[in-house]
Amino acid sequence: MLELYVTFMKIGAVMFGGGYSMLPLLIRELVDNKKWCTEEEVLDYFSLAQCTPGVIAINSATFVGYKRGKVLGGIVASLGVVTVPLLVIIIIAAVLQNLMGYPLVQHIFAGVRVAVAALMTVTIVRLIKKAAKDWISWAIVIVAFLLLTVVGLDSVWLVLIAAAFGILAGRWKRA
Amino acid sequence: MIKTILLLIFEFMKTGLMAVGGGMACIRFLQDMIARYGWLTGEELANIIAVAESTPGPIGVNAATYVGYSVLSQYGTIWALLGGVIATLSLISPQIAVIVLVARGLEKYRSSKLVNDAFGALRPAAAGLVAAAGWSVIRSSLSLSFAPLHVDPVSLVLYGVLVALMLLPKLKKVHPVLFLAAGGLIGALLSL
Repeated sequence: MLELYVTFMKIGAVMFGGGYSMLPLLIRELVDNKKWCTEEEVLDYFSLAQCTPGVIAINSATFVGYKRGKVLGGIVASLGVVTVPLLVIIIIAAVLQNLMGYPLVQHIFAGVRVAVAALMTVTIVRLIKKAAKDWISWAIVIVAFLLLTVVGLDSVWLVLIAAAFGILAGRWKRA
Repeated sequence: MIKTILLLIFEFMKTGLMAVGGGMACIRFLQDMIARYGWLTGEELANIIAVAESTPGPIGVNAATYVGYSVLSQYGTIWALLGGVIATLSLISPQIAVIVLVARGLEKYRSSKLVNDAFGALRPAAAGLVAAAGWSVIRSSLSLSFAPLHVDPVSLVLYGVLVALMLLPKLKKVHPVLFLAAGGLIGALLSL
C-alpha cells in the first residue's frame, strides 16, 4: 500500500498540464519500473478514465489502485496523486495573495490570462476536431455551447440532457 | 462559515460526479459555482487556471484546491488551508466511488449499450462544455463585451499572436508553461 501511495505521489508530482500528460508517466512507472500492469491494461484504463466523469488522472489512478488493492488501493492511489499538487497550490495561493497588491504582478497576470485564453482556444480546437466527426456530433457541440453561453443553462443539466439524448438516439437508431 | 463549507463540499462533489470531459470540463463547473455564489470573479478564476496549468498535478485538481483555498481565505489562513483540502477531497471522492463500481463490472460497463450510447452524445457535449469554459476565459482576459462592442486591443493582438504560434507545427512540442511565461513577460513590459 505504501509503495502504491509513493508511486502515485511521484506521478502526481511530476505531471504537468492535466490528464493527457499522465499517460507516458503511467506507462514508465507502472509497466516498465513496477511491472504492475501491461501497457495494454494501462491504455485500456486510460481510455475508460475518459469515459467516466471527473478528472482523468484521478480516474486512471483509481483504476490501477483498485487492481492492486481493491477499494483501499483505489483510495490510496488517488490520494497519492493529489498530495504534492495540494501542497504546492496551497503554498502558491498563500504567496500570491500577498503579491497581488503590486501593480507589476497585476500586469504580469493580465498577460498570463491572455496566454491562458490562447491555450484554451487551441485545446478546444483539438478537442472539437476529435469529438466532432459527423454532422450530428457537430450539432451537439454547437448546441451545447449555445445552451451554456447564450441560454445560461447549468452544466449539470447539459450533461444530463446530453446523456439522455445519446441513449434515446441510440435506441432510435437500432429500432 | 459552516454554510460556505457545506456548499463547498456539495458543489465540488457535484463537479466530480458530473464533469464529463476531464479537468477542462471541471473549469466550466467552477465558473458556474463562483458565479452562483459570487465567490470569485472571472479574472480571479483565470489567474487560478494559469497557476493550475503551470504547477504539477492534474489541472482539475489544482484549480479545485485553489478555489477552495480562496473561498475560505476570508476566515484566515488555517481555514483557507482547510478549504483547499475540503474542495480537493470532495472533488475526488465521488470519482473514486464511480471508478470502483465501474472496475467491478468492467466488461459490463465497456459493452453496455446504455453507456456507449450516452457517451456518443456526451463526448461532443463535453467539447461544447470546454468551449464554453474557454469562451468565458477569453471574454474576461480580453475585456471583451458586446452591446456596446468593446475589446482591449493590445490583449486581442497578443491573443491572436499566441494562438497562431501555438498552432505552428514546429512549436507543437513547446511546453504550454513557456507560453504562459511569455504572456506574463509581455504583460509586464506593456503594463497590460
